[in-house]
Amino acid sequence: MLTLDRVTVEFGGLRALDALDLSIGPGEIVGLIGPNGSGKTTVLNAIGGITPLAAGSIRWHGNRIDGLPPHRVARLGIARSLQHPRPYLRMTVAENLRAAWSGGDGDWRAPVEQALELVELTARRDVPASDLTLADRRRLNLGQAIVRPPALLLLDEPAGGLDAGEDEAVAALLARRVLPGRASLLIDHDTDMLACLCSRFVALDAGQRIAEGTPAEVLSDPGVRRALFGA
Amino acid sequence: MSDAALSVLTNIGMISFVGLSAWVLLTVGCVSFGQQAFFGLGAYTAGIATVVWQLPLALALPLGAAIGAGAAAVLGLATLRLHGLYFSIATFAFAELCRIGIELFRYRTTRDGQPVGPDGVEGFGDIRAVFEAGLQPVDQLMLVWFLLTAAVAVLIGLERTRHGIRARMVGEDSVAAALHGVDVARVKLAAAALAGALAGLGGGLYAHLTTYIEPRLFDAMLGVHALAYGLIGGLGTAIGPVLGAVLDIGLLESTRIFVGTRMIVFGGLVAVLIILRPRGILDEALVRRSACLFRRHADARPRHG
Repeated sequence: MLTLDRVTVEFGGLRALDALDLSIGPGEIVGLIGPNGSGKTTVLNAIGGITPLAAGSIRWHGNRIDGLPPHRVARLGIARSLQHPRPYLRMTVAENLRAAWSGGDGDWRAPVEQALELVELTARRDVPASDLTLADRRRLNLGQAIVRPPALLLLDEPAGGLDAGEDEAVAALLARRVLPGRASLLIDHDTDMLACLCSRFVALDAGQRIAEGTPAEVLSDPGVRRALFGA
Repeated sequence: MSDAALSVLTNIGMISFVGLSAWVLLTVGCVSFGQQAFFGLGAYTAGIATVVWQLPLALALPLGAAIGAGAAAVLGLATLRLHGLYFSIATFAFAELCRIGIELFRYRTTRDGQPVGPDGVEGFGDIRAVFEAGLQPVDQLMLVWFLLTAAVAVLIGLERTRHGIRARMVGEDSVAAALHGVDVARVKLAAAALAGALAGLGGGLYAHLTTYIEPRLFDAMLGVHALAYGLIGGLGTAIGPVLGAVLDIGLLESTRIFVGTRMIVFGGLVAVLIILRPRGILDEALVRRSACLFRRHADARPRHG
């Protein structure tokens, strides 16, 4: 479905991604792990059209999408949540969902109601986004990513910055309601949480793939352990 | 109503168009110091249309708006990819370029044995179509406020459409808007053209109701005021910039209370509001609360059935 072929991204002299191959099949939930600076977010930015490629190609159902601007990639059904949730602060929760939906056609009311329910924000629908806690902003961020059911979901640290109870709630939300049946690429520092959610892991270090396989296989790989935990 | 009051109200209506123009760009997150250029272009275009080309006013005003929109779109293509302050500086430079261009612009012809048409720094007088049509001050007031009300109503109507929501998304966070599938460049360009049309229409009215225009009228002070009207009146609704113009022209400029101190009071007002209400008097939160109250009121009314 999505295929990255020898994708290379350079920032000045720094090679952030080095000939990376990666593919995601229908309904597959893939976790992208690696130490800070290994290029995880850059992968999402490259797919989303935010960061241009220096070499390689990205294909979506066989068609090249590298070089498309972000809004064109979004309209293909590739939804992206940001590492730092940035809701439209002067809009309410429901308005934020309607805004995220507004790239599409048809009636927005039913999808907005569904998304509110899915991320458990129905009770806070008329609250301005500026009054939300970080946990609720994360929920809203997820709701915005799925209000128009995406063909591929790219989630950058969906539970980042939350305390223990809150991140479990978001993980449960992801596991039960958001991810099932939906092709997704997830990034998170909490590899245990990712292992519960994903069917496959890809480990990066310095812009290169160092391991790929089931979460258990990848987490027991000595190279991955060295890169992630220094042991 | 006295003639003086009529003239103040008419003036507020005309200048509100430039305020509205700057406000449209503010809603998509662009701070323009150059909307007076499109007001000036609209004024000269509409004036030339009736005086030199002898076209009817009903054609001259849309022509002024069209030239305003066209010029704004061309400027937008060149500048809307600039961010923040750079965009503001570019709009300011363009407006000054326009003003100086108009100073050098002469397009004279003879009507009834009299030379007429734009005459560089000497200005452009005898734009008499409105008076020749016999429109009284009250009619002029009605004309200006009818067009202004229509413009505000269209903008408020747009707010609720998908286009309006996309504009708000771009205004709040253009990166997030792009991730949600919004073509940010296109939204900004459409807003720039709409803003140019509004300023151009206001300019055409101004030329005909004052009968005399000169390049000096379209200087940076007009642009700064236009921008301030939205910031004072509020960015939450298109009524905001009109309220700003009412406060500035109606209260500060036209009453005798602030003679000699108008600009000090105006500057102070802007400073105080930026601290207390950074999005103006009619900001988004107030607009949302009033809409909510209005809905509740409507729901509480007994229904026939």
